[in-house]
Amino acid sequence: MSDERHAVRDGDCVSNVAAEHGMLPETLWRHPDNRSLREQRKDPNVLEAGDTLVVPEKSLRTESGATEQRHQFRRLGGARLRLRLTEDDRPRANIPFVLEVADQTVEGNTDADGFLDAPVPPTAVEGLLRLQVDGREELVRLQIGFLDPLDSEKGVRDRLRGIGVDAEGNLADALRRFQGKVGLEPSGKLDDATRARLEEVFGQ
Amino acid sequence: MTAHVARLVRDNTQSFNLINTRTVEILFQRSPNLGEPARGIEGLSFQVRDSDGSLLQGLQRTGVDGRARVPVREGSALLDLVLGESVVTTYRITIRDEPIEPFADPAPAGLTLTLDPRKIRKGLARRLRLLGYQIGDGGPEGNGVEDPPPPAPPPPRPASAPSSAQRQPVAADARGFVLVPGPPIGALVIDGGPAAPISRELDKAILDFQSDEGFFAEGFEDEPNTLNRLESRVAQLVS
Repeated sequence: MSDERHAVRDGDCVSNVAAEHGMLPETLWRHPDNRSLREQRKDPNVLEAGDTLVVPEKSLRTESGATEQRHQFRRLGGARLRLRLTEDDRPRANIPFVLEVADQTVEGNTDADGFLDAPVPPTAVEGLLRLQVDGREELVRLQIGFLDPLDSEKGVRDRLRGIGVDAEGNLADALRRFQGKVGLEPSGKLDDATRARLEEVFGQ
Repeated sequence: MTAHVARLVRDNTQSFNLINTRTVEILFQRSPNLGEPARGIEGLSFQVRDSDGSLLQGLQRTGVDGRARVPVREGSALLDLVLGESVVTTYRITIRDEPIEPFADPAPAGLTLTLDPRKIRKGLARRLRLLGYQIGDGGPEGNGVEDPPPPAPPPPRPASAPSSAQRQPVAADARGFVLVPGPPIGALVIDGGPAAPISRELDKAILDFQSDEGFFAEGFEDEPNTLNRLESRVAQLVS
């Protein structure tokens, strides 16, 4: 067998591709043939449809252990969601949530800064987040792994939407709204300063 | 709409994805001048959906003042009024990040004569609408906040023909002054030029507001006391 080339689709990132091929994300991302993609994308969690990942051939690893004993092996890898929930730009602190992803349910509370951190199956693509806010239930539907890189238009719109800016129409108008919100010159252009602020505010 | 988020490798503890919800408070009220001191409509059932139609918040009821807290993600949401198990009305809620039109720039000094009258008209109409006055459903936004085009310039006058003023009937008052034909009744004259005629609904809303506030109901849309009171009522509403 030889290395395989995986054409990235919507919803793909290194975690799920690695899991589908039975290897660790680091093994896949650090493979020498993925160097150019690594340099282009920087972030293994955000790939774009059309990218190509080279999946190396699996290698055999040997562990020795005494007979007549039980040995425990822990599977590495996996994935997580890390969300920050805010309301009108203020943290939604300590609010109860239920996260339903695949057949797994995670319950908890956001932390004091509104962060929610939960493990998810590496191949999960859809999720439903139920929030209890002042006795009301709010629903957030998630498409996991669908965030595109910031150098694509969809990636910019994804981030603007997360921030709460209407990004459906003209992108320049949406950028102006964001720039006005964060105190940048409302040029409507995706310049370096705007890109950096988008990444900073959205978190990725 | 569905939030697109990243699936992070397990040891990533730095990145996060923001989901910011903006809350809009909407007041359902009875029309003014119905003689009821409490205008809020309590107990209306409503639900909120994302702009793609998926449920964002299940059934709630308006409070004693008719207030509905509407979570909005990604800039817009759908608010359904529910009667029994049926949706009877749906409002699309879109957040305008731009401020509503000011009365004056700077406000409120120099209010009447230095501004574009259409700008005043829009600001006035939006505020009356916010307060629950009925201003109709005309205009490009279909909400009564009209932004009519400026009046067309008069056609060029032929050199030998009599002027339009000369051809129109004129009247003289008892003292012998000639009354030159002016803008149509109901039109506003600001800064020397006529604005588009005010809609019947907006005209009535101004009168209703002035009446409700104990002002002399003369209907002038640029009357400073009326505008100042309107501004303070809106400020009370959103405070």
